[in-house]
Amino acid sequence: MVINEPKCESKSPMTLDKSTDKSTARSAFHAKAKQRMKWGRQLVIGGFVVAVAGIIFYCILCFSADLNPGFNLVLHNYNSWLLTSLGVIGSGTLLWLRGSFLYLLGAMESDPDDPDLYF
Amino acid sequence: MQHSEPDKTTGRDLPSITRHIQARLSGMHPAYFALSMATGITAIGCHLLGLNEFAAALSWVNFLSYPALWILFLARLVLYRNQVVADCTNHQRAPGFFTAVAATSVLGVQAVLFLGNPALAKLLWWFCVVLWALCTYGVFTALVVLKEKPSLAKGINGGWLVAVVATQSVCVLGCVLDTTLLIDRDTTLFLLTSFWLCGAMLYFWIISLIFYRYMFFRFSPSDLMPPYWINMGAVAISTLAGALLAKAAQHSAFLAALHPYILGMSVMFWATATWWIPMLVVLGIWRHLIRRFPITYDPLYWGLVFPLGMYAVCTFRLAEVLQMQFLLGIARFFIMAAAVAWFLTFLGLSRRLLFAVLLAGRHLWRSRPELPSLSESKPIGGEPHGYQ
Repeated sequence: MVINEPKCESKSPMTLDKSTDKSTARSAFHAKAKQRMKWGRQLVIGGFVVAVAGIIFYCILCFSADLNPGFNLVLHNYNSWLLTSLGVIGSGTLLWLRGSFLYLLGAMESDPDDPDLYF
Repeated sequence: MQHSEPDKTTGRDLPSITRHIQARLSGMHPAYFALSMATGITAIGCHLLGLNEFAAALSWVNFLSYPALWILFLARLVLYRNQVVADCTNHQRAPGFFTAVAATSVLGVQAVLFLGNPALAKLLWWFCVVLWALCTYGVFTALVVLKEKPSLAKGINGGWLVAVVATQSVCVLGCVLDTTLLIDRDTTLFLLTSFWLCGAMLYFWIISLIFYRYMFFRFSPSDLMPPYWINMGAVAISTLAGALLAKAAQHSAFLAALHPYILGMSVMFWATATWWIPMLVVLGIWRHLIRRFPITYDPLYWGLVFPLGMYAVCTFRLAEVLQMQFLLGIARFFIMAAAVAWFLTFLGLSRRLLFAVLLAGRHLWRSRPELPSLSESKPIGGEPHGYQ
């Protein structure tokens, strides 16, 4: 019985090392991109939540002032509360922006073999 | 610091910024004016209900976005005429052209409320009428004479009701102007009432087809596009137009006789709009939570924001005319919902723009000329720096 052994093309150890290094570097690169996307997604969701909370808070303040004419006198520093609510909206938006930036950069560098991304 | 040559095989294969912009412009949906419609009506609603800071910010966004959309639309018409003609004969996309009519009308109302400029609003009203005539008799004729037509299931969607929104928007801006646009005030009011009734008839025809499609044809999550909210938006603007006509009837001999009829029809439209809301919410839960259809930005989402803002405004105006204070609570809730929906949709659009900016930046970075490193440069007639 003859066993045909597969022919092994001999590769020099240096060529094998180079291709292994390149593959390792690429995996690390994609892992970093994926991590960036994960952080970005968390910041985007956090930013949404903070900004929407700010919008609701602002609306409630304005409607309360409308319904109770003396409300803005009763509530101390009504104007500063109003500015605070606008500040919360602004902070949420900035968080979202940072998260989107991270996510998009990560997405651009992510593994091309991963599923398509839509945004 | 040494910059390593970026490995071109890592990361996604992305188009150049030029090709990205070309692709976006050629494929731009004719219903993109819904962005201006949604922004404008939310600004108007915020103004009427006391959210002054939001009203000011949204107004500025709309004053910038309306001309920007026209620039993009005209650029598309010049550079990609074939695509524009193809849209005119596409049952799914053709009704999107009517958004330009409604956006113009909403801007006209803002010109009166925020700028105190009725002359500009009057000009916009005439522009609105011309656009309405072009869209109505251009788009519907193109669809009628088409040799090959899609089935009802593939051809109809909630976006068709933008034709109703456009028709009613002519009436709304005319009523807000409350002036002589034609010959005398009664003639003007007769014309505006005709637009209102014509819009109502269009609604009855189109909604019957949409309801038939809902009930008797297979319905997948991808079929429930955001424009289905215009089922509610079209009757909401009909309510608004009716409420404004009812208000104008107080000073018009012609409309005074029709006042009870106009009021009754307006309440009927408002009740119909209210009926649609839970239905659309339930279908939205089915689409996104049960069937797990992903929520990603789509310009058609502006067709969801507009009806929310319009419902708030029409409820406010109806409360004024009927003297029913409890309706104001409903208006307040919906303007808050509209503001949140506008904000989330605007962030989705901003992400698209941010992607284009990053793409441009990445392209510029990768095509930058390589500068020689300091260690390789040699001064003339001497040893290189750092080697002494």
